[in-house]
Order: sequence, then C-alpha cells, then structure tokens
Amino acid sequence: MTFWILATVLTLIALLSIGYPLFLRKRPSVDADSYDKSVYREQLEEVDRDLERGQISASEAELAKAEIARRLIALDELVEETQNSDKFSTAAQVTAICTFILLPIASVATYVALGDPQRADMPLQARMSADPKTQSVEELVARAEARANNNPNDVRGWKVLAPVYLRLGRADDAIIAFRKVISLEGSNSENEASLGEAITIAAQGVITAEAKQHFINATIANPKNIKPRFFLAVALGQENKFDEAIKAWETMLAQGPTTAAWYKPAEGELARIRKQAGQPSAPAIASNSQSPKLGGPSKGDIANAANMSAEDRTAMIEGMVANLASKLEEDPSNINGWLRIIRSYSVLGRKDDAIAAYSKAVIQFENNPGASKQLNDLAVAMNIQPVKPAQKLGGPSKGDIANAANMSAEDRTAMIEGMVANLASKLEEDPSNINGWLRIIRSYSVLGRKGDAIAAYSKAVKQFENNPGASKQLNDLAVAMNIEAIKQ
Amino acid sequence: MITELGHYALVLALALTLIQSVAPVWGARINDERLMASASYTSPMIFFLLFLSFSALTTAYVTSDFSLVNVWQNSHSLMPTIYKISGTWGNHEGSMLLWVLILALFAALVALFGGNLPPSLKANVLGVQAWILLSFLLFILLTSNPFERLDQVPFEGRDLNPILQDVGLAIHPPMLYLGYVGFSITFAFAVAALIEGRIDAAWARWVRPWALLAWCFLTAGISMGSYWAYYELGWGGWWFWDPVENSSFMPWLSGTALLHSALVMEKRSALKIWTVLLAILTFSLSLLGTFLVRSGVLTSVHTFASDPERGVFILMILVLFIGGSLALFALRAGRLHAGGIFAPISREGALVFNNLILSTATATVLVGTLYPLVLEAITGNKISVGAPFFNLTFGPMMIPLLIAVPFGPLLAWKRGDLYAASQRLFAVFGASLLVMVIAFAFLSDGFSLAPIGIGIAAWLMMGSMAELYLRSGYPKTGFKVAMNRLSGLPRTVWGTAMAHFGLGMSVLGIVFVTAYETENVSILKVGETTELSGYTLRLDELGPRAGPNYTEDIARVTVLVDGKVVDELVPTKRIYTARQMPTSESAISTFGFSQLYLALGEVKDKDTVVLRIWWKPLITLIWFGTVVMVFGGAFSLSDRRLRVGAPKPSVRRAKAINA
Amino acid sequence: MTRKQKRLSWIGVMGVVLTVAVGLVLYALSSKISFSLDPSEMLAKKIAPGERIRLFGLVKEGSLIRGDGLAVKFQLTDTANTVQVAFNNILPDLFREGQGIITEGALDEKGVFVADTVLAKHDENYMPKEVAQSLKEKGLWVEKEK
Repeated sequence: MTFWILATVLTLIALLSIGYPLFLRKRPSVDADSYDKSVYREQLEEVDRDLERGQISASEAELAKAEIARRLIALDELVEETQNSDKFSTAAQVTAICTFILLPIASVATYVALGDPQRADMPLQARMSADPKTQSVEELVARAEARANNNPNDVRGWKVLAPVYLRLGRADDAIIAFRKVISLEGSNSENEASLGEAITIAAQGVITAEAKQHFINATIANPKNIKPRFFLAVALGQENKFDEAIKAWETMLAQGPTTAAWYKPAEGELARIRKQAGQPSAPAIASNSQSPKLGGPSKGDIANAANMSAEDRTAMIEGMVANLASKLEEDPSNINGWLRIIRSYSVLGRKDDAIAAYSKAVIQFENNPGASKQLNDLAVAMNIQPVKPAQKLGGPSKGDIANAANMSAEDRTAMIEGMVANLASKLEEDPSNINGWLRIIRSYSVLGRKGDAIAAYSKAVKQFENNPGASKQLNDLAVAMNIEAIKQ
Repeated sequence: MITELGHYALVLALALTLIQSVAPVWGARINDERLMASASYTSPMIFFLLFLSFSALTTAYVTSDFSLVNVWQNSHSLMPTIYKISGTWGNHEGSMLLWVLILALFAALVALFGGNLPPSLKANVLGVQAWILLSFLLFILLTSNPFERLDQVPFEGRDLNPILQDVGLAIHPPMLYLGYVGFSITFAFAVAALIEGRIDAAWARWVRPWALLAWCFLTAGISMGSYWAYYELGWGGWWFWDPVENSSFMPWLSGTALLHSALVMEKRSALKIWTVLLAILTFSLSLLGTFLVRSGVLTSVHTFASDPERGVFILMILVLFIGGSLALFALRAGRLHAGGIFAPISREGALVFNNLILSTATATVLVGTLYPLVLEAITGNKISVGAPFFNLTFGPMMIPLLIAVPFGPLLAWKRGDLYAASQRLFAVFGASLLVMVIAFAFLSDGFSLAPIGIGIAAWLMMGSMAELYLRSGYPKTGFKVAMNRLSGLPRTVWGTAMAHFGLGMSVLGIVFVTAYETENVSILKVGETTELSGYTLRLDELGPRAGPNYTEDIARVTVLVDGKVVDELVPTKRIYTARQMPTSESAISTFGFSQLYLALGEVKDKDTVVLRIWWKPLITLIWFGTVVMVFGGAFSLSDRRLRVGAPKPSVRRAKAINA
Repeated sequence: MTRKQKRLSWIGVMGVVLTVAVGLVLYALSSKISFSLDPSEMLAKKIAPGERIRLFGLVKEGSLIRGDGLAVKFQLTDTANTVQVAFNNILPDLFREGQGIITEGALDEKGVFVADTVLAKHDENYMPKEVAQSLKEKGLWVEKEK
C-alpha cells in the first residue's frame, strides 16, 4: 500500500512538471533574432570593458566592434516575420489531455507488466536478523554461517552449525566445522564421535580408518558414550570381523535401555551380521532400515533442505570422487577407498566408471578373499555385475548408518536420472513442449551434468527462437542455473 | 519497496521522456510557446526520476539485496562498501542506467541554465536529447532491466569480476560516460540547428563550452582507463590499441577536432557547417563505441557479458541516429549560412589544418577497428589488426600536427603571417634542436628515432609557452608589468597553453617509455637478488595472506639503490573465492616521473617465484600530461566571457590608421 | 591571394594529407596485419616459418611441460589438429589446460610455433570468440564442455 501511495505521489509530481508550463506559464516570447542581438550587444559591452582595463588597444577594440557590427547588419537582412501567440492552443490542449490520461495509465500498466509491486526489499542484514521462526532452514543456516565466519574463534557458532550441516547432507562442511570445534574447544568424546560420524557420512557410510580413529578416541575419552561404540561395531561388520562385531553388538544391547533410540537399529544390525556370518538371528526382530536417531534430521528439515542438499551433494560428491580416484591411483591397496569410489560412481549414475573401478579392484584384491567378498557384495547391491545367485543377500550396511537425508538424496538422484532419461526421449519425439525443456535443463544442472544441460539449452533456444516468452524463460533459467552456452 | 519504487520511477521517466520527445519539437514547429516551454520543466523532472531509480539500485547493492538478479550476479556481501557502490555500474545493466542518468543530467543542465537560448532552439535541443534518452530507456527496460528479481533468493552473490574491484574502475566509467554523453549535447544542438535551418549566435556560444566540458571528462576517463589497465592487468602496457580502447579514442579525436572548430565558429562565425557535421560525427562515434562494446562484436578485457539481442537493439539505435542525422544534414546543410572567410595562413587556417589531420586520424583508427569485422563478414578470414598497424598509420600522421601546434596561437585571425610567427618561435626551435642533440649524445647507443621524438616533445612544451611569454612582453617591459599582463590574459589563452603543454608532456612520456623501457624476468628464491637499471631487488618473503573476499600469495620485495633500501614492494597473486578466479596485483614504485613495475608470475614452490620487473622511465608523464590537458580545458571553460576574434589590421591599413 | 588560389591551396593540402593517409593505411593493411587461425587452418594454409600469425585453440589436456626457468611447452588443439607451442615468459593468470587461448608468434623451421604472447581472458567462463566459433563449426563445443 505504501508503495502505491508513493508511486501516486511520484506520478503527480511528474504530471506537475508538464502541467505547470502548459497551464500556468504566460510570458510572451520574443523572436530568435532578438536573442542574437542580445548576444552581440553583450559582446560589444565586453569589448568596451576590455578597452577600459587596457587589455586591448584602441585599434583592436575598433576592429572587434566593426566585426560585431558586421554580424548585426547581417542579422537584420535575415529578419523573418514570426508571430507568437500565447493562446492555449489546440496542440497544447491535445498534449495536456494525452499526458494527464495516458501518462499514469501507461506508466502503471508498463510497470505492472515488468515489476512486482508486492515484492519487499530483501537486504541481507535484515534477512540475517529476521525472526528465526519465520525463516527457512536455509536462511537460518546462512545466518549461522555468517556469524561463524565473522567470529571464527567463537566455538558456539561452529557448534550450532556443524550438526546442522550434517542434517542437510553437507557432510564435508560438517567435517570442517567439527574440526574447528575440536581445535577451539579441545577433544572430547562427543566432538570426536561427531567428527567421525561426519567423515563416515561423507564416505557414503563406509567407516574409513580416519573415522575409526576418531571413534576410538571418543570411546577412550568416555567409554559410556554409545554413539562411537555403535559406529565401531558397524566398522567391525564392514571389515568382515563378524565374530567381534556380534560380540560388540551383543554387549551394547545388553547394557543399553531397550527404549533408547539406537536400540532397534542395533538389533537390526546384529541380526544382519549374524545372517552374514551364517549364524541364526536370535531375536525375531525385523531388520529395520530406519536409521538410528544419531544424526538424523527431522522430517521437516529434510523437506526444507531437499532442494539444496541434492545440488550441494552432487557437487560435493563429484569433487570427492575425483580426489579419491587420484589417491587410489597412488595407493591401490586401500579396499575402503575402492568400495567408496564404486559406490559413489553408482550413485552418480556413472555406471561405466563404476564397472571400470570394480574390475580394477577385483584384480587388485583377487588374493584377498575378505576384500573380494566386500567388492562382490557391493557390486550386487549396486547392480554392477551380473548377479551371482549365491550372493543374493547382504549388501553392505549402507542405509543403516547413512541417515535419512542421505537416503532421500540418493533416492532423489536415482529417481531424477530415470525421469530425465524418460523426458529426454519424449522431447525427441515432441520438441515443442517448453515445460519439458525447462525441466530437463534444470534436472541436468541439478545432477551436475553441465554438458548435457548446455546441449539441451542450445537445442531449446533454437527450437523457441521465434517465441519470445519461451526464450525469456529459457534465458532466466540459464542465468539461474549458471549455464553459459553458445548463444550466437 | 525501495527497489520497486526505483523500478517505477524508471518507467515513469520513460513515459515523461516520450512526451518530451514530441511536445517541444511540435511546439517549435507550430511556434507554440507553452509546448516549447514544457521541456524546460520535464527535463529536470526526468533527471530526478532517474536519480531516484539509480539511488534505489545503489541501495540494493549496498545492502546486498540478492533478490535482484543484477545484484546477485555482480556483488558479494563481503565486498568492501566502495566496490559494492561501484558494482552498481560495474556491469552492463547498471552502467546503462548510469548512462541514461548522465544523459538526463546534461538535458537538465541545458534546461536550467539555457535561459538565454532562443525558446525554439532550446525546445528542439531538449527534444532531440529526449529522443536519445527514449531509445536508451527502451533499451534498458526491454533488454537489460537492472530491477529484475529472483524468485529463489540466494544468500550470497556471485561477486563482482575481480579485475573490476578496483578504485580506478570505480571512477573510470562514470568519467568516460560524462564524456561520451556530453557530446550528446553538441549533437542535439547540431540536429536542432538543422531542424531549424539556422544557426543562432547563441548556438555558437553554447556549443564550444559543452564540447570542452565533454572533452575534459572524456580525456580524464580515457587516461584513467589507461592507467587502470596499466597497473591492474599486470601486463605493464598502458595502451593496447584494443578495439574497446579505440572506440573511446575515436570520439576523443573527433571531439578534439570539434573543440577547435567550435573555437573558429565562436570567434569568427566561420566553419559553421563543418562544426555541425563534426558534432554529429563525434556523437555517432560515441554510439558506435557503445555498440561495439555492448554487442559482443568485439571481445576484450573491458567488455561485459554480451548478448546478441542487445547488440541488435543498439545497432538499431545506431542506424537510426547516425543515419537520421546524416540524412538530415544532407537535406538541410545547404540552408545554413557558411559564414566568415579567411586566408589559408591564419588562425582559422591552422585550426582547419588541425581538423583535417584529426579527422583523417580518426578515420584511420576507424578503418583499423572495423576492417577485421568487415573482412570476416565478407570473406570469413579472421585477421588481427594490432599495434603495428596503428603505429604505422596513426603515428606518422600525428607528427605534422604536433609540429604545427605552437604556430596556431601565434597566427592572427583571418590572415596571419607565417614568417613572423616562425621568427618568434626561432628561439624555441633552437632549444628543441639542442635537446634533440643532447638526447642523441647521451641516451641512444646507435641510431634511433627516439631523440627526434624527444625534440618534438620539447618543441611542443616550449612552443606552447611561447605565446604566454610573448604576450607578457618580458625583458622589454620589465618583470612587474609582464606579470600584470600575464594575469590579465584571458583564461582561454592560459587554457590553450596548458593543454598544449600537457600534450607535450604526454608525448615525452610516450617516447621515453617506448624507447628506453627495460625489462627483466627472473626466477628468485627467498633471499636472492636481481638487478635492473641500477636498482637491486631482493625477495624477502613469500607467503599466503587472506583478504575480505579473496586469498593471495604475496611476495615482499625490497628495492635497493647502492645498498640502501629505497622502497618495499608487495606484488600479489589473488584467488577470489566466490568465482575461483585468479588475478595478479602488480606493485609499483615511483621514482620522480619514472616507475619500477613488479608483477608476480608463477609461484614455483614455497620459496621460489617468477618475478617480472620493468623499469619505465618517465611513464607517469603520459598521465600527468593528460591531467594538465584537462586542467587547461577546465581553465578555459571557466572563462565565460564573450570574445570576438577580430582580425589584426594588415600592415598597410595599420599604417593608414596611425597616420 | 584570390579566392580561387585560396581554394586551390586548401584542396592541395587536403589532397596531400589524404593521399598520405590512404597510402599509409593500405601499406599497413598489406604488411602489418596478421591472420588469426586455428591449428587446422594454419596447416591447411601452409603458413611459412617466420610469418607472424595469431594462433588460437584449446590447450590440450596433459600437454603442458614446464622447462627450466620460464620456458613452457604445450600443445594447442582444435580437436582435429594439434600444434606444439613454445613460450618463454610468464603465462597469464587464467592459463589452464583445457582453456581456450590465443597466442601470437611464428612457426620455426621444425614446425614448432614459437609464441611471444599468450592471451587468456580475465573471465572464468571465457572462451575467445575465435575459438568458440571454430569449435562450433566443427560441432565440438558440447563435447568439450563435458
């Protein structure tokens, strides 16, 4: 409302600037020659003044005056009859009417077409300090980030931020944040366990040597802390030390209250490990794929963060994978590394790469039955190799550890991939569907397949080059998605 | 809401401009007093509206309102405030808004201070100005709206292009635009004169100061841009004959010609038609420059992201204004009265010579800039026309002009005496010759053209002072009288002398740095030293450092002369985090007018680095010279008195009068 | 001087200036400009050793070899043909493998392009116009982006 009041005021002032001269100003004008004459008269006076001050000699002054006089005479010859009137002419009336009716209408209409009068300003400072209740998770995170970056030595900021990152699936950021917390606050059981968890999540659920060390640190600092023990038990399972794993799980289950959040998942793990180890599963509790409540985000958080985390995740994983691949080149004996990279490639839809990595790893570990088995299990789970019937069961403990955010992001990626392939073939048949193009470009971008996004964008631009509306939509999307394509 | 109000103000300005582009011109045609007067009120109003609009955009930048696409693309919350402000025009959309704001400013100035203009002339001038404004406002709203909003509002911007995060670039574009757009006023006056079919006395009186004002800004803008490229790009060069540089240099050359022909017009009411044509051409070249830079026809370090749609729009504006005004010129120029006559050897003659050379030079630069584009369009062959071409064509053509400069002010109006002028310049000639010989003896080993260049620069500098000296009448009159006479001289005389002296300074700097620059590229470990032109440079430290929105590797280099520390330089290599873009920040140490220039190359390992070092003798004279030129122009501008250029009496007549 | 003489002397001066200018421009256009070529075009045109040209293309991945001091060697490719380039100065900030760049210099007797200037534009998404166009003509832009 304030906007429209101010806009009206502006419009009125603008109208005033044209109304004033049209209606009120009444001064009879003089013809153009008299302006010329006044210029020459001023010049004559100027010559006189210069002469008085002694800046020019008398003869110079005389010549200058003669020159001016010559121009004055030339002017008289030119005089044309001009008539001026101060009547409120028809032309002025037409102009006035047009202005007063059309100017406000045209301005408002054009503005409404281009602008968005409802839109408030969104200065960053205000967004940062707005009421937290009304803000989305992203906004809150950004605020926390800004605060933490401004006071990098304030541990509280990082403590707030680190678990949030983890919930949003930004595991790499979480690792950095937890490291900061440890460096500022010192190592304690909780911090070490959280860092280990973050590293594990970043590694797609594989408990790396580094993560393991942090969990061990955590149990040393506080043997009663259940989280590191949980992960260590999982690690034992991953290492195929089934007996030790079973023992660890059993000890935990014996100690802990049955009502604890971790209890059910632990039972499920135990059952699965027993199965893998060939032992009968003792308690008849169905394996529960629900993740432990260790770091899982609330449903609402996931919903809010889904968009963002999928994008971030893909980018993050891509970077990680590249990093890992180069490490494996140097040291190919790291089985966990191989497992991680195969899993990552599969998740990213780079099936060929996954198969290639798998083949390399199989050769590398052909004399290591434990590793071979892990590889094989993974291959089955990821549908990489023709399935060997005997190995039907027992994928690696993926979903158990990875929290729900992870799950949903993975599912998302797979789902989008399928959808995109479907969409692409539809667009081949009927390329006139602008929404389809927009969707596919967006999907490719989100999936990090920039080349495909650009190719699709270029095709779409060509398709809709005579359709300004569609072109604009495409262009806006390209800007938002940061696609720079061949535009010429 | 501020943003949206700014957007609305922009639309409102467009509507008002539409009225102003019709009403006053119509009024002048049917001689309607009220309609003609309307432009004097709407012009300041349009400026006010655009000022609101521009302020709204600046506010969005300063407060990091990333709901605007433009702000999101070109700003970052951690950027220092000055770059947030300069970011407003550090991008295509914002810079176009600045362009129209300045256009409106000039129109408003004509409206407010043009009381002594004949009403119909004033109405036509403001009408033409509104046409230009209208087309650019449409361009902004249809293709480059800075107020476009984002639905999903990000929390961080994509940062301003790091090389634009610099104080030089905060000031350079506004200066350049003041120059470009300033010539729109002379253009509007020229077109108005053609529409009216007559040139008033007031016309001449207005055009020269406006041309001078625009010229001052353009000179400052180009000079600043050159210095910016020199220290920011880290290549050590100060002029690259880059197409984008050329497109600001062409209006400067023809603007300089306009300045001098307007002088003839003001003083002697001659060269009227030529002045009108030059005014049209100068602004046309400004528009051409805008087109070349904005359309993506050229790529260069200076261009913003380009877009063919925008290119076509600007091309249409270009064709409309250049074609329209030239057609109008062809139709109506015959109705203008040619004005006074003069002998070839006269002040007017010298100025015509100046115009001839400057316009030919403009044409050669134009050919060099457009030839590759035309050739590629016709034959598909891609060629590059670079510095060698311009050095060979533009360079030699400047020499006769530079030699002629000192003669001009010594010749009388209407008919001059070249022999007398030569006699008066004889001492200057001798002194310049001496400078040349000294340069030959001490600076050059072997044959080189540089001493001749130095001689010409000396001739220019001393020659431009000759008029002042001769007018003071010193030794003959005594010191006190001479001083009195000097202070009583019209400021235009002082302005001319200063501007020509500044030109000499720039020429001297150019010749020196071109001929005597030395360069050294070395790989240094921490603690090692290298030498260049008598300076010893020692690498003391190499390490990382963090800035607000970048991280950098710095090298600390100590400069020693004869074992004594004279300066410490810190060239750096930065990575701007948001764009992951590396840039080099050179470090410069000034000794007198000369500079030691350091650029950091590749950091080989943690204590070895490649350093590129230049010794650039007298290089700052290039820019100091332009500063003196601008001061000269401003000084001359402050002389608002009316002067008539009366011819000197011929000898016979003078005798007759005395007798 | 009569009016006619005045006019003649003006025409004379103008004629001289214009003739000189046109002469200079024509001479410069014939000798001071250089071709802008991609590797395939350069090979097709059989550019003679020593002739100055602008050569543009993509820096081939994995081809950059740093020698002693500043000397670098890399291969410039348009994906169809590849040319070995030698350069002995500081590379621009944005020089990277896979990046589109422009070099200036001449071929030596062995067919190595000895560059004295290497340009990579100050823009993270920069693709020199020539390079982009050349790639587009060959239908390789999209593949390259992947």
